[in-house]
Amino acid sequence: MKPMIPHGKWGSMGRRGIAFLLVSALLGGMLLLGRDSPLPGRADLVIGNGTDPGTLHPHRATGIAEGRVIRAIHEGLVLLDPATLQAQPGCAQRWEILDGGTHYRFHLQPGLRWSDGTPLDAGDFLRSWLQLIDPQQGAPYGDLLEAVVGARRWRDGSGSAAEVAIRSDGPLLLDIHFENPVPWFLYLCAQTPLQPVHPEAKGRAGPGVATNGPWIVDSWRLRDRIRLVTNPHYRGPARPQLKTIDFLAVESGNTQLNIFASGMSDWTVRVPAPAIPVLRSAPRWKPLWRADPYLAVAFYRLNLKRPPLDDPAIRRALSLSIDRRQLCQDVLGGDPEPAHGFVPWPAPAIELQRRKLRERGIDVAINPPLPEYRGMALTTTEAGQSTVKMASTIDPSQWREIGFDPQQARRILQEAGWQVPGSTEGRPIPPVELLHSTGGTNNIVAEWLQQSWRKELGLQTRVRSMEWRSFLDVQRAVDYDLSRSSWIADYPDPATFLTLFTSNSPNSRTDWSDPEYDRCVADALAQTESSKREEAWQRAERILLERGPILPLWSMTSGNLVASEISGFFPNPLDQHDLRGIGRSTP
Amino acid sequence: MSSFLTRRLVAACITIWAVFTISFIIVRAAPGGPFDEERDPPPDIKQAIEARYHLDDPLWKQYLRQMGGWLLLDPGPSLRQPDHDVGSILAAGLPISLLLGGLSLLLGTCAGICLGVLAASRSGGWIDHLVVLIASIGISLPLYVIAGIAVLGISFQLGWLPPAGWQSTSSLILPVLCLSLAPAAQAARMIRTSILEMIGEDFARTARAKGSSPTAILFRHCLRPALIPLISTLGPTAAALLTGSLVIEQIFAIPGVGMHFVQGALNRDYPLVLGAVLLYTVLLQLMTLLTDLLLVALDPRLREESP
Repeated sequence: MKPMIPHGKWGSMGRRGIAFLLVSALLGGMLLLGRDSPLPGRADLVIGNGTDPGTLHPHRATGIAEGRVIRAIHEGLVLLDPATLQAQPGCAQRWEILDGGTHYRFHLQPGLRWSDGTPLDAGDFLRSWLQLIDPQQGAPYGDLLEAVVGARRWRDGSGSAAEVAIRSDGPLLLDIHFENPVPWFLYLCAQTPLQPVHPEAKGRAGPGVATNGPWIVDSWRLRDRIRLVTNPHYRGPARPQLKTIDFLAVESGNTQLNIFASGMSDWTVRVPAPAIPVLRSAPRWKPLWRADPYLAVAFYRLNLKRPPLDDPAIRRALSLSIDRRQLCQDVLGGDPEPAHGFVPWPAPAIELQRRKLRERGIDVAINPPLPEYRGMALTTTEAGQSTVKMASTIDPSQWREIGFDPQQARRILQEAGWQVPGSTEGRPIPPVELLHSTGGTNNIVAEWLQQSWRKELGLQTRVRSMEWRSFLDVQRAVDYDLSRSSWIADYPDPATFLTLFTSNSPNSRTDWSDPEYDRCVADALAQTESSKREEAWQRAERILLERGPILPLWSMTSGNLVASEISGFFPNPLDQHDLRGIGRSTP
Repeated sequence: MSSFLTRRLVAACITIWAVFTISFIIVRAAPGGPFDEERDPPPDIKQAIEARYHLDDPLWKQYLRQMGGWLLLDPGPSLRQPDHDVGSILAAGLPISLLLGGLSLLLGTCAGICLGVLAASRSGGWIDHLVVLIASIGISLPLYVIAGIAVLGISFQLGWLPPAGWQSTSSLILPVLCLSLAPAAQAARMIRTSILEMIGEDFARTARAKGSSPTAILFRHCLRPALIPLISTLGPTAAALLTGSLVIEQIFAIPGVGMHFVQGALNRDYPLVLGAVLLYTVLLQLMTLLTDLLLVALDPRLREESP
């Protein structure tokens, strides 16, 4: 037989020697390579932060996990009160709001320094914000400053940076002029994109790049943890108690839960949905589980150009045959509350949330997320007529049932000439497809809707699940019948929700356009008086609920597991918990 | 020997190029892009972001740029983690995966050989049945079930080991045990079957006729040829183990490279996916070559007669 492989002169001892050497080299190499530099003990606070941050550069970051780290290592002009989200002095020691809310003047505190010891002044904020707006930089959240005078023109190519009305008159004074009032601007100043970026950063971020917050990045072990240590040049105003903080990068919710349960982390932010009923009820977990109102809404987008969804009667019937109370209670674990409007957490829902917490024996103050806006709700009257009314006029005890009336749904369909269960008259309703992305509760919610609509309306539906980015591609192309969606507030104002469906919004993804709706939104944005502003937003939300391409389902809750040793953790509607105020009772 | 190595090297380069090209086409054919989010920036801003990473270039240009980058060992930044180069991301995870995979491979193979020999020497007895049963469980039970049971029992019920994390040596033990179960089961079954076959061969009968003890026949005459089929499967097994396990890395929060295969693809992080695939291909080629060399060392039939 011809040999497969020619050989050299391999004696028995030589072969053994080579084998021994190979195995030794493999083992030695593995042990040497696999040994990572050990971290000096457990950090004062260990946060299960979910996924590994994509970037720590304030202009490029888009995720919530990134934001937690970036806000700890940077400090903006203002900080937010952890309970009320009211603006407090940060790098700015005071500020003035002038000209009906279109001019903000910040007075910076003297002696500010970057973590490398170099001075930081108003010029650094000016440069950073211009970089954020610069269309060539491609900052995903650069549009947050589009209302600055001259910014939109620069971004659409018809203006230049010199026209942008951000000026620093001396090292301690910063002036910003807006085209229309931006009541949420102080809040934005505390957010990730508006943090100052060091002049030498040049697009880099992470260890070795100077920042100005109470902590700096000591090490970033990819897909393991980011370790923060105190910044020796930070002088306040905050007085942080924690010396070291670890942000764990753990993709799996189950693993996060295991790590928390074993005491290896103090706070975890991603909890698998099936565990929530246990966390809400088991005596060990009940006091640690924090599900607070979160300024975010879960809904379905509707494609109004596809039959049968082009018929308002079908859309109304679909909404009326969803028992949102059962959905929130039985499918979602009991924390969220039904949504009958698009701006989440109106007064009745907040009141129900307070009652739930009281029943669970948890004593925390829950504030309304948008105290200056009374949202709208799509409901039915006693006579069976559907109508949109102010949510605050609805009794909390009726809130969970108001949008559910399957009999009324069937009557609407019959009147519109559609066939309903138990009747042979009318045209059969063509089947529709429910599109959702994989993961979370999306599939179980879609199947629950499928069952509800089959039972109440005899509607045949097909559930289609897609991987996240393929799903976004299909949704952007408006190639769906109904598609699962959610929207999280960028800032605490109805504008963050109600500008989503204007004709020129890049994120509408419905092809819906209503000139009257656009006018209401433009009117609201231009108003300087808060009551008129609220009226304009209410008109816009009414139009969206009556004619718009959405099916609101529930107001979302945040989900945090927080160890009992941790202090300074307050519920707030943006689920932002400034680490400057967080402490630990036992080291 | 040198011509053999040259031939293998050329074949490996062609294979790596083919894998790179096919992977490039597949990842770029997937719908969606790396910068798609629930909240999209305005279209012109999105174009500026894509231009920063040359994603607006024609596809052939991107292909050449990527290939050139890899040839110079400078594939550029990750699209999802732009603060880091793809090279440094893989370099950070590879030692961890090598350690975990290497230990699992060693433990699994050694334990499998021992169990296989034990089962073959007690063929038909209860030990044999037990080994076969354990091996069947090891092969058929999905890794997430095994890992889940291990975490529940050993970490939470007994409290002996941490349930996850990459902090101390003790955090290695559970993942290595779980990961070594499948190769151990596979090795045990193969060794048992091979030895039982070898015992019936002429050379074993001759040795028995010459008065060798059953133990001597087993270890001196049957074990070495019985190792050959096992070793021929070790290359792909080693490459798969050394490039990390998605399930084990996810359940035990281990920062190896296994997750990049899936997360990179889900995030449309094109350079990272290509890097992970290239890494696997190179390791597979290397391990196959090593396996072939090991087979030559073990099997006299594969060697030429000395001149």
